[in-house]
Amino acid sequence: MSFSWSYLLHGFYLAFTPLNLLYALIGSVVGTLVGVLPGIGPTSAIAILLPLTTVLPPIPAIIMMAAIYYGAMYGGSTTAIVVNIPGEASSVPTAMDGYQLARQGRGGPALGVAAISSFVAGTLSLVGLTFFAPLLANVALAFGPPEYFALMFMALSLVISLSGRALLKGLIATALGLLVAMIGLDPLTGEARLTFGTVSLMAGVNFISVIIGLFAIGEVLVNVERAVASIYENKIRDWLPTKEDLKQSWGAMLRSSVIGFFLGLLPGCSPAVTTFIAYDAEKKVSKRPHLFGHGAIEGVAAAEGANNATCSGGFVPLFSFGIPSGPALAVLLGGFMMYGLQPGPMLFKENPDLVWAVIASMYLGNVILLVLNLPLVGLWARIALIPFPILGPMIILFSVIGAYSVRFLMFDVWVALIFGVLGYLMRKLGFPLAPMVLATVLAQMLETSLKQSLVLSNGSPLIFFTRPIAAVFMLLAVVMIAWGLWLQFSGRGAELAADDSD
Amino acid sequence: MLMRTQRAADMVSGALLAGLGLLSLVASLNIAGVTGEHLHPRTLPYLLSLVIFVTGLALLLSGWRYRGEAKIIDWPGREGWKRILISLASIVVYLLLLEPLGFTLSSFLLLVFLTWYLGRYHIIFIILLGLATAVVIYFLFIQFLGLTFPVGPLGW
Repeated sequence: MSFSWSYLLHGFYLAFTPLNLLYALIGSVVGTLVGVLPGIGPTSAIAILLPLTTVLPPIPAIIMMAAIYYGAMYGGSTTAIVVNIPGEASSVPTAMDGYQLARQGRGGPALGVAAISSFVAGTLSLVGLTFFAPLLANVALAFGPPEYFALMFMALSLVISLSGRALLKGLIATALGLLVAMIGLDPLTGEARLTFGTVSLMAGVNFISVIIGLFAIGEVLVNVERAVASIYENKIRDWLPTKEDLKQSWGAMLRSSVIGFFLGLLPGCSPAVTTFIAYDAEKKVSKRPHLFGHGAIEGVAAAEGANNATCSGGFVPLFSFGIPSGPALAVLLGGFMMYGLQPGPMLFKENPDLVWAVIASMYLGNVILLVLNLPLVGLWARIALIPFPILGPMIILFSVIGAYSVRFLMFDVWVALIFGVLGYLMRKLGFPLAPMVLATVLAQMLETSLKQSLVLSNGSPLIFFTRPIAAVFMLLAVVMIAWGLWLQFSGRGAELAADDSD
Repeated sequence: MLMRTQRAADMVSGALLAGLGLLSLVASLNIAGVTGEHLHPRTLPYLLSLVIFVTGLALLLSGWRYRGEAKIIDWPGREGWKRILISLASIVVYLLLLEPLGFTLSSFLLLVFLTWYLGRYHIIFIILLGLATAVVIYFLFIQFLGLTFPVGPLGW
């Protein structure tokens, strides 16, 4: 199955049906909202809404979830520029230059360039997704359980090694995430594992609760400790960038599209990571690097472009291999699983309607978001001023609704609360959250493919090293971990602080 | 304070993790299994517990050996801790009341209390806000989406 125009056209046909269009619009609005409001990110928003979407058919539900994700990437720029509050970690570089521009009275053009760059990069990388994903899915079709296991193993290793200075903590977070997922009944034999004899734990710990806790509740707790900050507001007069602005930014838009898209293919490279890389790269090629951090419009273009390109890029491994590249996509993968869908090569074969409708809806979503963001910027900036004492309790309430409605068990709500406290502590102590989330979501697939591989090889783990593709992945994984560990213990990585993720 | 620096925190959390690893190591050994399986149900939990035990020790050790500049952890101040603990306590009370009082009523109480505690706005404003949210949530989630939340003695 290679790319075919008829599939894409059919996808557009589906995306244009009223129901799907409506949910793309809802997703875009919610996504922008999530991007604008500090204290709630796309990961927690998707996790909270996921159980609620089960009343919908899969196509509109997934369209909405995807739109929330890329919509948040648009929304984050508004508050970063206008009030210097990055709603998302990935909007921090935008705030560096955007807010300076706003103070110089050029907030309008900065917002304009941010929206245009988001649109250009988002659309360009969607083209990449459209042609790349089916191609990779073809490759993935040749994968057996050993290759899959090795690929997931490598993905987790990559995420761990991208934890940077906190490599050891990344490893711990991954192992904890996997261990938590083991609680409950063994998927094959039905043996109770790590339940300590309690009945509640038999049903296992639901990963949606884990994610709602780590991201939504944990984030609220981080915000609770701070008193509300006073906010300086800028007037937005004219949002149209000048010819000069566009001339300065178009190179950055294109470069950041490429950087964002290709880095977005890698697990662990979430927008929070790639925007910083693209911003740095732009500073290096710039003829006026001294302006960066003091109001360089191309800095805004680079950060916002990379943001959205990464977002679409991440859908490539998700659709073709079923491997999420970051926390938000991990939750989306969980969404697929709730519908009994298994992302991966077979998805293109068995559910072409779903894949292509979602891809087509992303083209539409980008247009919707451009329209939503340019003229309505003032409105979004105003919404961002909702004070936290009003927002925080509501996020808690929504988290409880989300956690409860997965299986309608109070147990899941308590689990979310416990992981909320854990998430708060992890943030403070420098443990990265992304590896834990990825591990929790991938655990079941990982275990199943390991079991199937061992059945194939009659119990010998050598199978991962005798099949060439699997062997390459395993080798890469081992090299990455070893290299990271060496850095950690050779003193070079001895600094103990970690960078916060997402 | 006990874990003021990153170094101290690493040592404490390393020790705790090693303990957790040990605990789940013992628990993994108790997992019963079927013979003839290529992957025993206990194998993965056992291996992961071992990893957590060893990495916990490694974290403890790396904190011990760390001789660089002390990094102060950004813990909240006295006031911050109070806000966190009271917020957490109110959430716990909320969850305990969820079943006896019903979802809508207990949610209203949580919203009113937390918003008042965190923001100290005018009480009338807070009550109206809580009321509006509770009503919207009731109609959106219970009536429209048909989710079955615990209902209280009044039926909502």
